[in-house]
Amino acid sequence: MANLLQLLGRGKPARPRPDSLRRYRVDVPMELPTTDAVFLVLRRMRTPLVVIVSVFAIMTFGLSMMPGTEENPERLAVFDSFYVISYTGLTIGYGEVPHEFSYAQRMWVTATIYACVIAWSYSIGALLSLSQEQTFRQAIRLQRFGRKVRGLQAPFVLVVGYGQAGEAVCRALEDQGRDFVVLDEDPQRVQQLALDGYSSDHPGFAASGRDPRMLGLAGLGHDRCEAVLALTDSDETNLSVVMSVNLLRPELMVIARCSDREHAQQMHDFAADVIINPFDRYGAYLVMALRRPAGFRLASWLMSKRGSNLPHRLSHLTDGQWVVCADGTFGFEVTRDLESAGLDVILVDPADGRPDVSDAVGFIAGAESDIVNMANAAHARIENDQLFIAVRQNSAVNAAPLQAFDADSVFIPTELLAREAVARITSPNYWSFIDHVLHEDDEWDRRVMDEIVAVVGDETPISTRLDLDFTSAPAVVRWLNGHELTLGDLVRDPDERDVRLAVYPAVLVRSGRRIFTPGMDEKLKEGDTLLLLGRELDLAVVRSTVFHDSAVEYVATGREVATAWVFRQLQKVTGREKATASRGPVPPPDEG
Amino acid sequence: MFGFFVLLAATLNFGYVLGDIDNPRLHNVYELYAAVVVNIIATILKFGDRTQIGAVHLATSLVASIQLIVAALVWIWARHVDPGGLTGQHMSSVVSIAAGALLANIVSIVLLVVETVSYRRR
Repeated sequence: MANLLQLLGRGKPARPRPDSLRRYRVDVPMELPTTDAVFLVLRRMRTPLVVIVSVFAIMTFGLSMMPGTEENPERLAVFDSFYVISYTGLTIGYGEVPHEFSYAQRMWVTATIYACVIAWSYSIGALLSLSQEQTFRQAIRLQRFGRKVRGLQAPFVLVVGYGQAGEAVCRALEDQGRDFVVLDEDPQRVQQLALDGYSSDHPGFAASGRDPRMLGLAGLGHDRCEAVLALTDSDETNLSVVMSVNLLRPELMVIARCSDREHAQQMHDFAADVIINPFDRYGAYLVMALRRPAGFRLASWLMSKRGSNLPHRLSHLTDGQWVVCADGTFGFEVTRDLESAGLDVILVDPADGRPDVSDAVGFIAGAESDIVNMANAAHARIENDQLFIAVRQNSAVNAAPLQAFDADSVFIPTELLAREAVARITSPNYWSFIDHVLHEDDEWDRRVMDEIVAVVGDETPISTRLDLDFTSAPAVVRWLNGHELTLGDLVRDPDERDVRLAVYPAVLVRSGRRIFTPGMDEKLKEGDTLLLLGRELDLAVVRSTVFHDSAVEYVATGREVATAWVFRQLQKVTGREKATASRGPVPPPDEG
Repeated sequence: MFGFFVLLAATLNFGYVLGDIDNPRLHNVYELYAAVVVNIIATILKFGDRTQIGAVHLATSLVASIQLIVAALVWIWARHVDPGGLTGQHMSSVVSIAAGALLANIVSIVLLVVETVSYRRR
């Protein structure tokens, strides 16, 4: 057991350092040198505009110089000719004002028409070709993106890397109703963001997370930025994001993906809050599933997507010889984990052909190619059908055949990554509860799992945080001033207090200390914070209960309290009468 | 290029303003017209310049252009709309507005000179 705890401990968050590596406070860079599209337009439009102005000027001047007709020998005044040229240049005119033109004037106006058409078509062509230009469009996109990010009002998360993991995280964030901003190097993946059908429009831009200015533009310097997630498949990019955040905004939470130890160590140096190495974690989870099935089930249930059912217990997972068929770091990591849990592990290279599994109890197909994994897993099953088979799935396109194959465990690195990242970012208390589950003994986990399932049901619960302070629970605070309220009362239905809502209080935070699975008779105090798990509607009921004095009084005592002021006053009077009546004239002690 | 237009704008402007303020015969309308056009071109030439001095240039040219356009509008009003015709009173207001534009143009030239001198030093 000690082994196991050590294993999981390795994946624990780096302890947040009181000081970051920042020595000087530097503003987060925002502006890219060639961003302002307006300036670009203006610069490019100088020549066309000068051409138009010159044509108008020359034509106006010339018209005012042309001799008039015999009846009106005076030449046109400057203003008159400007008037004529204006409407001629813009619309090909509507007549001769202030009086009929002479032939000289008509010739000049004809020349004007052609000159103006050429000048206009040149300018409009220049403007159109500018709007087609890639650099200009990029500048416009960048500006629009920056404006959108600056306009964000609600707290948001900056997600760098929109691959499978990034997408899963974004979905989960949206489920929780949170905003996010996406950066990804690949423009196609950013376009995918718009097509993926989120309920609201989330800003995304195609740029590398290695550029701190891009991070700044994507909201690193924004007041409402809560956390940064570095989920690209390049460790170096993730490291660079971690560095930028540590040096520019050390107060933000950073979750980084990593696939080798060297980079993980460097991220630790830059005090990343959480470093998730899916390869490393999978072995630990597998060992946990073997040694502490209940804890594993509960933890993976709490981390799974909204609406998923309680996972089945992994069957025929036993001690014995394990065969790992993998290349790259995954084989190394998982072998290490299984070995340190005391298992007998044989690591084979997939290039050496089909592994021999006749004496084994477990087989892990962990090559980098899904096809190789499927082939090896199929062969293993044919050879030994009592085998526990785990398959690594690298690409989402192979999900259907793998599902049909029904391996005992499927390892999807990006999904594991996304689940952990989401669980951590949901709220610190939610993660602390999962962390507690991971470290408690199996008996406790089983009991808690049964309790939660009994209250909430089979589907993954939703979590919510409830602060018992004057802003988010005014009625409770008023009630606690002189009365008592237990945790059990709070989860009663305010319509019928004998009914318990599908709400399970998982954590109670009181003066900085966390109490896990607090008892129902725990007396609440002002300033407590609760982490509640439950069904969405029931959580909403609890959140509304704490705002209504009458509801709080009812769940606490069972007294029906009128909501309207008039009736409350009436109730007070009658209540007092009743109270005096019930105390009543005490029958005098028999004097004998 | 810009220097040429700024200088030309200032000289035309100066030439127009020169002379008795209320005597229409001393202020040729074509000169005013040319000053307006050249000033507008000078303004356009500073579009999209993001340097500090470029922005100031844009501001001064823009001020001069606006002043000259207002002067031209006043002249048009006096010449064509007002029943009294182009009086000395009208003429003096046209010229004084144009003189304001001249001030802005002079600032432009000073800036231009400063820019040129500091460029040589570097």
